[in-house]
Amino acid sequence: MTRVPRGDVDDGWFAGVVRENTPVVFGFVLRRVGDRPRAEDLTQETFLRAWRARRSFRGEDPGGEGSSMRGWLCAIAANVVRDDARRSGRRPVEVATPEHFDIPTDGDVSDRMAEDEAMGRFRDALVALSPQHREMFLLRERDGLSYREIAAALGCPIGTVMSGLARTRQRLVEAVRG
Amino acid sequence: MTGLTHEVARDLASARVDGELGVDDIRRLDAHLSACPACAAHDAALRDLSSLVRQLPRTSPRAGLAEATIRRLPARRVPRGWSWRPMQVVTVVAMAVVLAVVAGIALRPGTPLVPFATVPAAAEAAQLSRISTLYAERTVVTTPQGDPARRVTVEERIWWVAPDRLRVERVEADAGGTSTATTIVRRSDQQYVEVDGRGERRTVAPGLASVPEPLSAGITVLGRPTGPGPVVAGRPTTRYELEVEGARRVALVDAERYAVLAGEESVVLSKEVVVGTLVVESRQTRVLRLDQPIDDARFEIPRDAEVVPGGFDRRPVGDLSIEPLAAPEGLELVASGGEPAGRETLLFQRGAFQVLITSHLPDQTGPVAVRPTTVGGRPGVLRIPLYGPPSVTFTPGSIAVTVTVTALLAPHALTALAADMYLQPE
Repeated sequence: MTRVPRGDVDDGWFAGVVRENTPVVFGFVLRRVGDRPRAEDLTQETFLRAWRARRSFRGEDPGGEGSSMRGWLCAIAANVVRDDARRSGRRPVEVATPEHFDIPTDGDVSDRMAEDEAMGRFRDALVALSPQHREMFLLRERDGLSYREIAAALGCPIGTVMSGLARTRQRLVEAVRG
Repeated sequence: MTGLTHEVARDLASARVDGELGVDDIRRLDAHLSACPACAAHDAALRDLSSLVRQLPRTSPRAGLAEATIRRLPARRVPRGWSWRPMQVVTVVAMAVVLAVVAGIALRPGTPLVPFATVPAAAEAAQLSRISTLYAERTVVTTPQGDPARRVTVEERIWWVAPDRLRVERVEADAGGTSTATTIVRRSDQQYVEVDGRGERRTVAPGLASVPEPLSAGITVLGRPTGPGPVVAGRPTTRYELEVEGARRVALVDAERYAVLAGEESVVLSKEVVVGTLVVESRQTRVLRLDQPIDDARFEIPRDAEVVPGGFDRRPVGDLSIEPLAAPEGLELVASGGEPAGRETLLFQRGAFQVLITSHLPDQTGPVAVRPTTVGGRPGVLRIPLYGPPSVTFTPGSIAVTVTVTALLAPHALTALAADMYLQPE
């Protein structure tokens, strides 16, 4: 039997996990740190931590529609961000700017003006949400996480996710209506 | 009225957008909405909100970030000096199903292996296929090489019970109007085929039946809910987008998990000897029913059918040319043997989780996406059928081996499993 080189992580499942989940984790981290290069570093650190902890991952997805891997990774990312803030003495982000919900800011002012009025009200309303509610909403609507995964990511009960999303949508609908 | 307050109705409407509402609640909600214009307007506004979100531009990580991260991961270490050793099956996080991490019982004594990944524990293994039954009606039109004179239309009714019971009633018609009626019944190691009224039965290798992975498993593995869908036959649906090797499909699933495939997409498959060059022109599934009980009588094989000689002949693993270097730990060897014309089979099993090794390509119905891959650095071919489990074929020694698993393994985990079983570690 010919010997074949092994130990190549590229053939392993975790490489696939990294590829598939880098965008979601990056968005999640960016919304918390507001700073691209730092978000990239912390995204990498999230996956390294997840790698070390991979055997402790207990996925349960009896009725869910998505992978609970995403919820687990986001929960790790939240810890990574917290630890980094503590290490560097940075204060938690209080002011929400567009970076905080990963919308590029290098667009032209005129682009913004050409935007639909409803869209403008929507963006303003998103900024005005509490970080927790904005996170819930984007994780659900944009990243497609299930209630269970969002609960895991944010460390709150599923009921809180459910009522939080309902309240947030109510608020956004009213804001968009004007 | 209906007993729901407006506040509760709006909470339910929100949960419905997320596909998290049960049937009874949906009925109560719809009853309220039909009598309350304000809440109905709110319900509609929720869907507008989803479309606003989709218009939000998003920043992406830089292109090389994932690869740079992968390069920083420590390489996995594998002990040396093995011949036949207990080995653990690679676990993977498939989007629908996660295999728990528990070490099993070694098939033979050997040096303990630092576990990189393991097989599912019994309870998880039994539940791996979240879908346990499937009933589907489908129409598939196939046009070889785009030539309308060669168009074939197939209408099928399919019943399947995990993992090895299958009944297919098929009518196949060509462009000239000639049609053929076929019935196939498969149960465990018996197969019955009836063509235009004439039937015969034979013993076959035990293992997976040909249409084992129902589409909703495909929905959860390959796709994600992308928002509310239209109301179909009075039922609100959630829209899923699937991708099968670059071909986009849309499925609409309601709360009872009846699914209707949107029929306007076409799936284009090419590049493979097994099915030639096919253009699948259109594909409509009229109904897909999941996890509903199916009477075992559906899978009865007529006793008076002609018995075809030959069939599966049980032989020890060591007598077969597809014997692996290492067996999956924690799985039981259920069958080993061969059929005439040299088709050999091994079947490892734990609950509903099966690893099937064959010296021939699996029988397949329906479209299959095929692509080249590598297995431990060697060239291989990956097959992902729309209605079947993925398999990988490669040549570890002098003959080609096909490895198929019932769990929803991602392709890289499947190839790692095959490499683990057949290739020497460094």
